[in-house]
Amino acid sequence: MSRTKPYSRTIPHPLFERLIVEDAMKEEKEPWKPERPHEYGYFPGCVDFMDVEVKFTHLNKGDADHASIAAASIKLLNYADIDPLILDMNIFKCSGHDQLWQGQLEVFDTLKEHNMRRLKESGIKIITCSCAECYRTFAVDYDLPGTLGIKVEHITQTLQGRGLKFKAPEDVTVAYHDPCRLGRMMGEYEAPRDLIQLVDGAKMVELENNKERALCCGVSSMMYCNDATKAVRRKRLDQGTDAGIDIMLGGCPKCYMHMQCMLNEERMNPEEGHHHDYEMMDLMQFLVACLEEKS
Amino acid sequence: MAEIDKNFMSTYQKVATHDGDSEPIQIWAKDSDSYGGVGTDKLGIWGSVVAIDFDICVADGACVDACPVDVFDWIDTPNHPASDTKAIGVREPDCIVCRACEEVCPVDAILITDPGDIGSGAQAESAEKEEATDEMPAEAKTETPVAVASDSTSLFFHKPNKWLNRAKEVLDKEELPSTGIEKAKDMFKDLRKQTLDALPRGKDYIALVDNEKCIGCTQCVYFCNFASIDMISWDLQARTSQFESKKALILDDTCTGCTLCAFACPVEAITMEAKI
Repeated sequence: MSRTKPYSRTIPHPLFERLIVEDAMKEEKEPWKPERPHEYGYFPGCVDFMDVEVKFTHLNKGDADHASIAAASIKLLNYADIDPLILDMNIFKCSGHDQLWQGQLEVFDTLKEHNMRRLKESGIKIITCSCAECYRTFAVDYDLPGTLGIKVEHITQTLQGRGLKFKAPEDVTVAYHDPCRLGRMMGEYEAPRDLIQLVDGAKMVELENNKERALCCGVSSMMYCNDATKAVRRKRLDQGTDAGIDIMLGGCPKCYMHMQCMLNEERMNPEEGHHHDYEMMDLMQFLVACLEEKS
Repeated sequence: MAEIDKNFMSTYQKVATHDGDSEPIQIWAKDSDSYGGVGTDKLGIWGSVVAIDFDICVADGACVDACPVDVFDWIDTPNHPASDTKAIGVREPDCIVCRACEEVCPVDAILITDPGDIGSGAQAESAEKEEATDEMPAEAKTETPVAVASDSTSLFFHKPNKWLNRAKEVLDKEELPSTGIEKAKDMFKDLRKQTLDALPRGKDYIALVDNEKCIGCTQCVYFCNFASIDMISWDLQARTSQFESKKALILDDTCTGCTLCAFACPVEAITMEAKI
């Protein structure tokens, strides 16, 4: 195995990060033009990269399905009568959030340069992402509003206030887990909560630590997963049990990934006695499960 | 038919067997009409632990190259539209469930199932494997009884993902535009192929950890299928008083030389060495 690429030597990169770096180094210079102009663009992010990683490491024990977050987002955008340009990952590349926060600045700059060029070619006015990390990266680190005049939205903000209606198939108690990138960094606490309120039959409760005091999922930007980060995650999951919820909802695929991983690990080792009897889901997946047929 | 049916053991029927090196190979088909025998264009799925859908197999040979324990051989299947020869798991009991073949197969024709997860159809080799699990650390041992109790949809243990399945049901009905995220799987396969080409592997080799390079990240532990890797504290100088530095240690008796840990290691601390 030859690794001539500049991987950092101090942070353990999961394989999917290695793939993103590999992808970043491929040069693609051909110009691209969407078939027709769109106002909205939807950026799916690296959800499938996470899927292959957790499937191969047995971490999610076969039920990894981050790709459904992207599918659910497109479905919901269509439901809200938005026809987004799908920012295809064959044309675009990862936003580079993890690489930036891990200190791989060269890789991040390459990714940024590529995506900026593609976004310019795409001609969209608003970019929306289902990932809180992509949202922050586009809004702050790419500064798209300042450089290209593209407005950056998290998908909850895009769907907010569009008169959508949802109905839960059965009564359910849910809590919203604030992702750090969406909450503390971008100050968006209300849009996801507003969306949950729209679901008929879903009762929303607050976890003990919420909004700006929300606990972390523990492994932001895939830096490191050890006993300390697991302790933070377990504390967060315990708060869910205390609040008596059926589903914990997240706004970031990474939160979904890490919480799901912990829940599966607990189910694998029942003798350790840590058990949380609820599901972790992304908000988009939950809303799709509560879709009502349009009359 | 794009890839092998993941639930073939419940939806397919046992229609015939074929001689393997030590044990017969089970042949599965949707019904007895879907199996025509060697020489026709209806071949079904061959094997249980190492299940290969012969109607999809294109005889690419990637699995034969990838297998660290030489499970595969070739069989002639004249008159089949996909290819005139197929890879067959003649030494199925040797399978170490490293899933290397599953990953490299270009047409996704292979499905590996842990012998412990095969319910009533468990063959003689599952008894052998259970003996082996007795020597494994507690973490691996507890998996088997839970798996047997689980429902048929999950190979490992019961997951109450009721709501997630609801979401998937809705999405399965939809025709959604491609997002291009699917390319990840192919990239992953390529990377795995590169590793397999670059490293010696198999029963005569064992993985070795270079303590100087190991950063104690536990990636290899997650990748190992056999619980062959332990994290050991070597009384090394810790960076802080709260942080205990641990290093990976490969357990000689269960390591099968499948190279997965070397593949996963972010700092190239694991090398494959010939056993003495």
